[in-house]
Amino acid sequence: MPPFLTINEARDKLREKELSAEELFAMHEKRIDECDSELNAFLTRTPYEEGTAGPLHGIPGAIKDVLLTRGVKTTASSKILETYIPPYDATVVAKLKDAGYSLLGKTNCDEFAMGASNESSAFGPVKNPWNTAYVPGGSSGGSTAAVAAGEAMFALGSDTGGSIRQPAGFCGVVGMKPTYGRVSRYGLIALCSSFDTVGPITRSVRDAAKILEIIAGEDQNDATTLPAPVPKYTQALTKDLKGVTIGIPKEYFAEGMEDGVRARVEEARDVCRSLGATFKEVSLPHTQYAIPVYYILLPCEASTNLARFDGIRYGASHHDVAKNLLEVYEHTRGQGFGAEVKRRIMLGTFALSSGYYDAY
Amino acid sequence: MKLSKEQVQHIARLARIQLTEKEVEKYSKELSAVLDYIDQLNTVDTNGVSVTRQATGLTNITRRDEVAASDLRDELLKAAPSSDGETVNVKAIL
Repeated sequence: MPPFLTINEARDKLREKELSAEELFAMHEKRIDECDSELNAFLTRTPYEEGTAGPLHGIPGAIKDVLLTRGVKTTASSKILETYIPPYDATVVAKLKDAGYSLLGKTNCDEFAMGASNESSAFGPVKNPWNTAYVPGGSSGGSTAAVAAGEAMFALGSDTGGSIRQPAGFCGVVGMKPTYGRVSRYGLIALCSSFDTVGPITRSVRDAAKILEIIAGEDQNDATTLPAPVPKYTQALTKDLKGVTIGIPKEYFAEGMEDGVRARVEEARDVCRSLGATFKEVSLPHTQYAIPVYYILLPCEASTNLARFDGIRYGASHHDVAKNLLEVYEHTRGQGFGAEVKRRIMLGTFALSSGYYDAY
Repeated sequence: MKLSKEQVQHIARLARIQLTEKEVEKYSKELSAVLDYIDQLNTVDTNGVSVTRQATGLTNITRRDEVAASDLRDELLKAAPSSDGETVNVKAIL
């Protein structure tokens, strides 16, 4: 049996007892055995545990290694968290557990989700399953590669500045960045709290809708989550798009866009049109400044969020060589963080420091 | 904007990151390049552009001040790199 089923198809087969949850899990384990020495999508693998009865009962999924999983090592692809075992589950992980999924393991990503190629992981890059000479994109490259290669039926990623959408594009899978506030980030290792989101990576839009339905919603532990009820996204998929107007920012069709990319976007537009949607060109005139603005805001927030990795409460520590507390901090962080992480922390520290804050 | 090696060392100290001599050199170049790139923002006319401070529109989100049990003491202590099982060990400040 090929491992490329959608969640819906797998659920049908489980219901009709064509295969058991354990067999479905084993099928994916075998696929990981076959592919992952080359792909490096998984950092940690976990044994089969039967899930509870629920909409994802028996569905094997993978979780990006920036989301906390109780009792399962969570590293953010960084040496500084190489041995960290979280004492609690992220809200999204707890929700998947309640829905009955089975965890296959934790997926590789750029260190602390800082990157767009998966090359900044302290545990080696991930390869694109379609062509291993190519990168899978990032930072959720392990999650998208695992789903594309049939190593997992779905995965969770996080998106701060494209980290679900871009690798999903590179790997040819569905990646969905939810609206900020739709999905709880409690238990997500924070990068840039003003932008961080958690979302599904799947092989079909229907599967993405299903996972989003499960992980979305207000959470007491994340004050930015919206108090709005969660619609049944899967039911909306059967409707047409009459009366829906979709804006296309003209600035997004920038110079340097590949012909193939342009053609696929136009195809998608035609599909929406055939379902009744109308399109309207809009202008977002500050688009060209988005990246320089991001280069200020993200490092500032990252430098604050990553201040907690001090070698005292969790993760790696360099106590032995240090003479005092300051040296513990400096050695631990100097040796624990990779080049990209240090660069961004220092940039943020600089922009927030006295004398420069007003300039930015 | 050019960042000198002394400035990089000062920033690294503020960020509590020990750098090697080589890293100081590397970051002096790299951070200067990023700051030059960011400088283009000074050319943008933002007159009449309203300030965005957040996107959700939520205000004053509070929760009830209720005590809830957290049974994580042992696990949290175990996660600390240096602990005697009762307390987290920290080096002397001076």
